[in-house]
Amino acid sequence: MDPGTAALRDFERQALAHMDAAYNLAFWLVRERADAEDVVQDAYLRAFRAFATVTGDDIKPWLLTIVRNVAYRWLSVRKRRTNVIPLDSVLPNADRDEAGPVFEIASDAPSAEDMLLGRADQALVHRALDRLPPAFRETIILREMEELSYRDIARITEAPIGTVMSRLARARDQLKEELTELIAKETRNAL
Amino acid sequence: MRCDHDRARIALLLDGELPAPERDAVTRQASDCADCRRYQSELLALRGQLRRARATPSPALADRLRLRLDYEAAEMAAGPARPVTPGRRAAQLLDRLEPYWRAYGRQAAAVLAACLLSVAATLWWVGQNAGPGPDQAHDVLAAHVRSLLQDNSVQVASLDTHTVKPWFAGRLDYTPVVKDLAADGFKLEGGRLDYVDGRRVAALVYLRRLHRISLFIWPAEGPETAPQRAKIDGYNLISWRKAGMRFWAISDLDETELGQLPELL
Repeated sequence: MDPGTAALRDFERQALAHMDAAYNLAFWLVRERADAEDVVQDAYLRAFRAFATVTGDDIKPWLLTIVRNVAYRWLSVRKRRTNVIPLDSVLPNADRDEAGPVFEIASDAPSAEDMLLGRADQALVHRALDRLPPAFRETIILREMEELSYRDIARITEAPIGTVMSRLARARDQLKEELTELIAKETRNAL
Repeated sequence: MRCDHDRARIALLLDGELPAPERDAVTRQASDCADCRRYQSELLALRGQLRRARATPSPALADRLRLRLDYEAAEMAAGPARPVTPGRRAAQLLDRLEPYWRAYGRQAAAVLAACLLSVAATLWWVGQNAGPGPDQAHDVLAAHVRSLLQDNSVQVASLDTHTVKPWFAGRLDYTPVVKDLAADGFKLEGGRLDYVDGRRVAALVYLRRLHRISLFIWPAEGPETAPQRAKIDGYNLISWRKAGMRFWAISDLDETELGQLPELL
């Protein structure tokens, strides 16, 4: 195997393992399935070209940094090219296929009877996430969905650790508030 | 619960960021005090909800990525050096001119400034007078006909817009709009790079029945313009500007059918 092919296989082995994480981050930043896939492709090409310069065992934070940069560039291009579509017009049912069953009870939530949060419809969760400012959203997504450490999140989002912690706390508070409010509204409408 | 301080420590515990010596104490507190317990279960419920909201890519994405990477690796192997960019060439030239620059720098700068000024004035004057002029139309016609003369009019052949669009990344300094118009009777065949109006541009190839259509796209500042039609040598041409892009569509297809394109894009 020539060195070029070896480098390619090595990159594929390490990078494709994080494809789901890359896609998830891209999706929650650009909020468009097709665009998110394009972002991942673009980011992986850039990562491959720069792969020789990477040191360290875990390439996940490095890879996600590139994904994030590409996603933000993509967003600014999209904003320039088209009129911005108000988020609310696309949201409510856009991702129905992904939404989990209605009123599913969170498996790891104790004392579920007084825990409204655990029973929210996934569409509501999506809506609540969309209402977060992007800086909060990316922070909580990297922590809760990708299970990254504060240090890695700080590196990816180019923010000090203290900022990561406060963004995380505020993202959680805001999500809880939004969700409680959305659930209350939903319940009222149902009645 | 001593409020904020304790909440922060519970969050740290659940995030696995609490230093080992404190873990036991906070764990105990989280189970002893009712408010803490409630807070902890709220965080866990939220976590469960968020994990379930994780978005998953289409099953084809991994294959598409591998394909693109293979392509890229092959290209890197074929040409070890990337083509010399205008920027790098200019830098090389400047290096070589260094001694002269030192000797005649000031005069050279004055002459250069004068030249630039006159070039800028000429360009401005030309820009004032030219719309998407006949030169562009002839470039477009020549590029289209040339592509028909070759065995293959596309460099990247795919029905899939998500293969064609990223192919242009790195080859152009902008991203062309690549739409799947199969439902409207325009089948995407692929794309290629072309040279029109003195610049590299994206050319997309669509098929309508047996008629091949080249669609050229490049950035152009200015307001949207209504489609303008032209006919040269039996080919129908349409040009319009939209969303900061200049579009040119050309084909031997009937004028009215080709005329549907501006609305679809």
